[in-house]
Amino acid sequence: MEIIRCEGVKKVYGSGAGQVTALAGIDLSLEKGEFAAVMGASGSGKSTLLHILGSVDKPTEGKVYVDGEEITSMKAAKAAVFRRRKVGIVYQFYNLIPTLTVRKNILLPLSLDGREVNQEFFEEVAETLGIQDKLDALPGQLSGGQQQRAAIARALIYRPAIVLADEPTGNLDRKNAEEIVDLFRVSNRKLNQTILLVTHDEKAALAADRIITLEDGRIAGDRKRR
Amino acid sequence: MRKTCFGGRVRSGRDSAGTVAVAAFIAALFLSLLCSTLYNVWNYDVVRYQTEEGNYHARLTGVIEDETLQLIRSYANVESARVNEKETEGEEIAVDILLKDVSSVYEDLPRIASLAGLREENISYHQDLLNLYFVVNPNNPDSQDAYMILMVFAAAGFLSCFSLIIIIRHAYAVQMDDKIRQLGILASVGATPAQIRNLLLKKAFFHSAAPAMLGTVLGIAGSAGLMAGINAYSNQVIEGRMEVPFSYHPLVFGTTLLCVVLTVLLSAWIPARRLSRLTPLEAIRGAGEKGLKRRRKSRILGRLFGVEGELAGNALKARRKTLRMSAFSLTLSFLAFGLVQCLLSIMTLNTELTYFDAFRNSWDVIVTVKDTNIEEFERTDTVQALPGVRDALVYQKASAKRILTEEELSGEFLEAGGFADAPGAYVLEMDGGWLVNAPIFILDDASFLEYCARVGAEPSLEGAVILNQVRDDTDPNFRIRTSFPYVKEDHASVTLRRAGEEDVGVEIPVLGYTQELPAMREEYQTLDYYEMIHVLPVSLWAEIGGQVGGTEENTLIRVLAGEEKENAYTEISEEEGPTQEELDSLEKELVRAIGSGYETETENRIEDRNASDGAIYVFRTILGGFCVLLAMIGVGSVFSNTLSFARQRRRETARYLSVGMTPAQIWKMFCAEALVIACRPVLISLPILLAAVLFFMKMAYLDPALILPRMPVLPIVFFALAVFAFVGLAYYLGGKRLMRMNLADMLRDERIE
Repeated sequence: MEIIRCEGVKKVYGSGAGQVTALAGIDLSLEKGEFAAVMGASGSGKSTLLHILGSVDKPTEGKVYVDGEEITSMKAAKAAVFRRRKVGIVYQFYNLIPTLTVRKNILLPLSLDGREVNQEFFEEVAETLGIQDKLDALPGQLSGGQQQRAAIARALIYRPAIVLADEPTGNLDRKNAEEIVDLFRVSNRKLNQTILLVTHDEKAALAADRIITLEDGRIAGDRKRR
Repeated sequence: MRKTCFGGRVRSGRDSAGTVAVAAFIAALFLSLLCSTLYNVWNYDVVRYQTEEGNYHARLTGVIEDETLQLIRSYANVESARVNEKETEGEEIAVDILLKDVSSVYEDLPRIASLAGLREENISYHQDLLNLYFVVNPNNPDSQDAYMILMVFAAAGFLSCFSLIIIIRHAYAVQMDDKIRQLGILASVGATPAQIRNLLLKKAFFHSAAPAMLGTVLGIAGSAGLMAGINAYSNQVIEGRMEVPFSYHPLVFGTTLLCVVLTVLLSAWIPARRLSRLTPLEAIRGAGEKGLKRRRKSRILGRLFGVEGELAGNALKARRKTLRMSAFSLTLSFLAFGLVQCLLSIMTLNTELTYFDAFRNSWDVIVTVKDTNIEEFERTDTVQALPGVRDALVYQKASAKRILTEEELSGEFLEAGGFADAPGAYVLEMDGGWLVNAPIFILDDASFLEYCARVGAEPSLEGAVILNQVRDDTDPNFRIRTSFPYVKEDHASVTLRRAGEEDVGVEIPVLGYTQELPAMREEYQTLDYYEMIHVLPVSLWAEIGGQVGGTEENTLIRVLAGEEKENAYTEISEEEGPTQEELDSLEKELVRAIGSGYETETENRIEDRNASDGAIYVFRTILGGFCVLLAMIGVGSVFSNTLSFARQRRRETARYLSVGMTPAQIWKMFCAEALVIACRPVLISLPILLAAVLFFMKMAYLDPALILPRMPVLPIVFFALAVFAFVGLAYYLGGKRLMRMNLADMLRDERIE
């Protein structure tokens, strides 16, 4: 079942002589439960693609469907609701709210929707990510690896259609980076979660079932490993 | 170096440069307004004393020949020495002396007096004026109070500069933080902290100089407008008030400029110093985000606004240092405004009850006949016969003493403790009795007889009526007094004694004892609860006055306006009473009837009331104005914070948006924050205000039922709403600017880290 479809997605920044084409017509499809990695050099358009898929940014041209819903024409409020319900985004710098405890950070997408917590699922996620004893701490009191685990837990708590991870290991040491990639692997297997991992870390990308390579805003390679 | 560093960032720095310009302008405007206004307040008193009491520093009185006068004039420090004809009596010449350097007046005058062959007793200093020049009399400890004015002015200036530094430094910090990455790059290539600091200060000065000058000039203009407004208003409500035009002195301009430059430089220096001390890496990464050091819960906000409330609460706690000044000044301004309004309402009510209401049927016009004894005053009949005069009481006050023995005192007074707790300043225990004050009211004969008839005393001009009343010293409630009969009413005569020479006295018959004074505007037993008041006719005083003495220098005429058929004791309601025009006209008639043979001064009740209301209004307006300025500082601080949201809260907002918070939810969070900032001063102040009002009501023995309808609810509510509106506007503008930013751009900026 197709969960993401991009049709001719273009993204251009600036105008005239200063115009920069970040994405030059991307056609991409992702199946439910797939674990894909997007690789490419710096400036190849990886993060722009991720932002467009997560409704954080809008393409200059083209359409994007996530779980059957066209997201590029969404207004800001609808896009925000879409982000918290359908997409879980994990950033390189975690983007945890420093004034909320880890527990509240994880539950934030649910709280914003006024929804009850499924305690069993919450505990399962926390245990899987190994942060069950850090739930009452503030993000600033955790290590980078622990903060990224909390960010992943937050991305998973709504059981989104897709988890988008933007260089999630870019700020971590090798050991933590491997553990984080393993966690994506586990959540992909255990929760049948679709994952799109943007990285330039080849070792991290090798954990994925499919590796998409971007070059100058175009898909230069797309190979399935399993 | 400056061009290299900042030249390419002109556009991005424009907002913060604008904020700096506004901050410098407001600081200069406020300081200039303050300095100029304080100078004019001081100058008003100087000119008033010079006009009313004479423009001199010291006066020499004695036999001064022309040659001696020339000698005085030739003294090095004497600027002028003029004979004051008005104060000269016979051979006793009064010479008014102005010195070039007034600070040495207390050293120079004894020398000048000696030069003129006079003694120190011949010198009188214009102490009020000298105090205003902060030249204090070393032999008079009271005149040290002059320094209080200087201290108050200095404190006002210091506090203003300090408050402004605290507030506007934020604007400079924002401007400098905008350049933090460039500073990091500069530092990384070897710029020293001093070079970076100087660069930032030069930049700050460059943006502040013109607005500061404009603010200074507009501050002077504003002060001129303020003084003109106060003059115009005061002239309407206070008759005969001296008008002093606005004036300015180059020293004031110098002081203002010094304050402005110090304020601006210090405001810029604080953030410049902080930034110059950052390591290159810290600077390149940008200033750290404000977070919480330990877990905090925002339960109330969480319950009221949900997760947005909790986020708002946490954001406020994380930024509490930044918001401290706005919270402090808003709370202080609201509290001060509320206190001023409440206290002035209590004062107004108190004045009305103790003065205007209490004496409503006791006087309409008072004429003071200066330097005249009552028995010398010959116009009593003319005054009493004037049309429109219901009653005219001519009286003079005198002070005497009486000795009271224990046998004379009433049983009730003795039972309450008698003189056991009486202060020695008022009651002197002596062998066989107590020496007490015996104030005397000497009335014209006709009024005295009318009074006798009123109180049921024997109608005679041969004796005195005694107010047989002593206050209970255990009950200080002056509004509802508790009194006892003072003495047993069985003495047919009493002895009035000369104050200070109690052996000298005269025995006078007692016509009766009473609990009521004649209808007159006189307070009694306010300080001395034990004074015994005697009311005497002028005919009797003419016989005994020489022995008793103690008369005050002026005779007073208490006039009640109305129909002649009514008398002094007819109760007339305010509505049926005379109008101000009628009293003004009556005043003129009285002055005309008394004639030019007497020096008189008049006042009327309604004009007094209007003047009192007017003075309170001016007082309320000026103090209220300063509270508004204080609030503006607080609101300015909130604006300064919110307008830098785009920089300060970009990362935070990006996080909220990235996890799916909608713009409406972010606005809800801002609303909760604004509500807390605006509500907190009100919530903190209200209990304090309530406690203060209750305390002052208790002190003034006021009935809450009377004060409640007069509580200044509307101004306080309006003030609170204005604070709400401005804080709301600040958040709206800051929030709007922040929400205009693109989430992807915000997240991209994050990656630079």
